[in-house]
Amino acid sequence: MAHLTPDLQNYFGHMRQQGGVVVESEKPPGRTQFDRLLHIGRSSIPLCVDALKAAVKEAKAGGDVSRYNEAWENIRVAAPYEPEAIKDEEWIKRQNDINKKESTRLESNLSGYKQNGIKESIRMGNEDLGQHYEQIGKLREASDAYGRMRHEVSTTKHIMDCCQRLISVALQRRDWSSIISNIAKINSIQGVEDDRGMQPYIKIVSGIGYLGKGLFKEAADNLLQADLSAPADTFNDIATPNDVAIYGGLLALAVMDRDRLQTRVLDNPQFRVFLETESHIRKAITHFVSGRYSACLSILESYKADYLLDIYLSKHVETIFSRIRQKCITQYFVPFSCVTLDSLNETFAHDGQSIEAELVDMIRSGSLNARIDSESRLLVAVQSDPRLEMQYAALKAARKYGDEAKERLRRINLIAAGLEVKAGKQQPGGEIAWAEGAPLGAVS
Amino acid sequence: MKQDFNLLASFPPPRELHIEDQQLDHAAKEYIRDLNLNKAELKKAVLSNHARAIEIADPTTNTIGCCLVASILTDALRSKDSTAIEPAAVHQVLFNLLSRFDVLQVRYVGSLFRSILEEVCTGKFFSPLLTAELASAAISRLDPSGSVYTSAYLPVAKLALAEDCVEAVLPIIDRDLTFFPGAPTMRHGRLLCDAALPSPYYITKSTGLTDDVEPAHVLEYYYVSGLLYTTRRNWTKARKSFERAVTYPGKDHGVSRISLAAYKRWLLVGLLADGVAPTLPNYTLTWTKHSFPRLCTAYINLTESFLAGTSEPLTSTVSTNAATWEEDGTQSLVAEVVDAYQRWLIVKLRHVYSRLPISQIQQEITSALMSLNAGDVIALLESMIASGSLKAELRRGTGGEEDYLIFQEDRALLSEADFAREIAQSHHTITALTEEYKLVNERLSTNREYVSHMAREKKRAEKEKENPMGDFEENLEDDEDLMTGDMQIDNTD
Repeated sequence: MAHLTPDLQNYFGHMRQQGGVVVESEKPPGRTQFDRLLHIGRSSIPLCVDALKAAVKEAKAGGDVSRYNEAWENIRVAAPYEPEAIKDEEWIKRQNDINKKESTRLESNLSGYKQNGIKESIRMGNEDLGQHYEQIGKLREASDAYGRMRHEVSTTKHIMDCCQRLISVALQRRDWSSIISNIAKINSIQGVEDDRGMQPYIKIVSGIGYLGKGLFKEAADNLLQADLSAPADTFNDIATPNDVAIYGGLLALAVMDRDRLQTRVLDNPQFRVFLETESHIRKAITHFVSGRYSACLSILESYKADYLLDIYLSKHVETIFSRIRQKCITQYFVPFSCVTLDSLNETFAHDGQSIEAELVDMIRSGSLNARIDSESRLLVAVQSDPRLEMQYAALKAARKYGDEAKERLRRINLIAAGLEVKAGKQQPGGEIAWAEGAPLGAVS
Repeated sequence: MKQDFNLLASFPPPRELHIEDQQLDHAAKEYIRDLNLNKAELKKAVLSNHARAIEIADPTTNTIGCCLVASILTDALRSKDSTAIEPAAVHQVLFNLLSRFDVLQVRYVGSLFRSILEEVCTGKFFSPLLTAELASAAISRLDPSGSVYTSAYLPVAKLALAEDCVEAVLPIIDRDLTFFPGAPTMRHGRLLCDAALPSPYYITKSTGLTDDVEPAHVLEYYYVSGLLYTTRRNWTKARKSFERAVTYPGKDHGVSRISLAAYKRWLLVGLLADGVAPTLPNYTLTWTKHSFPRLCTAYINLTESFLAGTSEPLTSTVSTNAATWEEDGTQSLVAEVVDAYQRWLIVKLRHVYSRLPISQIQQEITSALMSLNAGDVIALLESMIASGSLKAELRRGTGGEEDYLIFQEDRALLSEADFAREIAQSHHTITALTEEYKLVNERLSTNREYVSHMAREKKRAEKEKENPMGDFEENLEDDEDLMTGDMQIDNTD
């Protein structure tokens, strides 16, 4: 997190020469760095002060005053005696003046381009203005400026640039629908599927967009298709390969069965490259596929704190973990007609706790087709009689067909007889157009 | 006078003649014409010797004559024309007519029969129970197929609701009515006395067996039917009836207050019937789907709190909206819903447990509404098992062992014969429906508006075939620039 001073560079250079191991943090550059620092500062007790101090520093390195204010507000409460907790009013004033002047300059440039009527200049003017607004944290204005670029596009490269800029702003605004719609626009450009450089960007951004919307299956499908053979500079300001491995692996565990995990994750040469960067995810998936569910869950539990510090994943960690856990319990139960609750507790429950409440929830939600025998302390699989099922399905289908046919006939005849309710007078203050019918209780 | 009674007795033709339908049709029409021509004399004769008239006009053999005699006598009783007429005699005539009328002859005197039925439905001749039974039986005999709604249904249903004689009208309330007065009439070319004539052909406004009805009339009938089933605690049928009022077709965003009142009750009886919130069928008007939940937030909240799994939201929703329930007249239904909450909790336990101790059940439902001791829980379970709402066995522990509830399979495997019977029944229903569909198709295909629409469509299709571009080129103005959409105005003049 700290900048590498010349002394540190010399020190680590020396260590390398001596054969020592040096770990380089792969946190992505760009505006997500501040978001990540602030998120860690707000979420992690041990890292709070350091992260918030770094966030203040990061904010002051840019031109976004609102970010500085946000970071300062947090550190003021969390660590009031740190030097960073003293508000730098002079910097704020200076930066606001600079921002205002730059905004005026770029806007006047743009109006000049508009008067000249040169399309390319107008497009570039909007792009410059959008970039400026993005840097100073005016995301809505940035989005509007980038959106105006669309009117002047003349090549497919321009369309792609425009969409990428809009996606960048949408990621910061957490506008997941906008991300997905802009990715769809990029996908509709002719020839984009052959552009290997864009492939990982499209898949990773789509994955993050769907993850944000809580559509885990779609997110996993996209992330697993990302190809790291393309240069990482197209996407590393959004997510690192480690992030992709974690997002893709966890989501695949949450939504895919064992066969698909084997074929689409472990045997997938493209995604395997990502997985190598986070070997614990690969191990967890391997354990799940091999039926070692408690080992799988314990690996994931040990990394849960890290996942909770991720800006895109944190909100969904509990849901994803719960799904994985439920899948483990269901898969564990599949080969048996009944299992003792004690053995389930031994495998899945936390120390001194019972799994029964979780089983009740799973049965109620329909994810586990079983019943609990409280007397024998057994979880018993529901054995359905195919003949009984057939009889009830046949009779239900016949009854449903008859009922629907009657209902449709009734409605056809009501309409044919002109007996539809028609709109009457508008009630004062009411939106409903009430029919003028006989009042309740009166005999017609 | 003897001559007049001879006229009255001149129908039907003697049975020994074995007359055909056509001759009977002709004879009935002649008979009605003659009666109308000699109405004044006949009235005088009936009033002077009503006992003889009643004897001659036996409804089983001469329903047309009996209708006339009953009409004359009820008019006289109403206007007190003749003091010699005993009300008991008139009541007897009406009773005989409504219970023993000939189902073919009555089609010729539909409006007279309907007016008599309507007058009886006012309840001034018989006790409410007898009135409801008589009217229900008469409606059933008029339309054995039970498919045509008539103007008589609503008064009978309302009478049964007001006088609490629901049982008497259940045979007609249970019917699946699919035809309604006001639909375009069809020239069928068959005789009214044809025993095989489908009821939608003869129960029409032109025969007088029904009057025209308004949409609110039909809507209210469904609503009242729902209330009737509610009084019988038949929640499933009540839900179906209310659902028909809620999903009633409408246009121009038209909905009715009756539909809204039905919607509130539909939500409540849905909870009572299935223990879950009912869902509107896909043919419900979009406007209804969106507006009704907004207008009934108290009921929606009640439904959500019923399904929440804990009792606190339910009790607080019920108490905070007490004024709403009172205003809508749904207090008793809401009380039923609250009462059913514990029972539905127990029933739903079958989806999770195969057997569980009574102490656990007690724990589950004690958190709901009111605390029960083990004895109360066992009594509740026994009553539920006895009523058939819970398929389970109560196993009492011996020697200090705990009592257990063992859930049983709620669906039983049918024998081959029973299954075949059920399938045959469904087949029969669907076959009957197919006939009704054919009837509707014929009726709508011969509708004047439909025929003219089809003729127009055919003409258009032929025109398009000749000229695929249609009138596009003809409609183009000479000077119109298609690319810019501008019109070049010629200013040379």
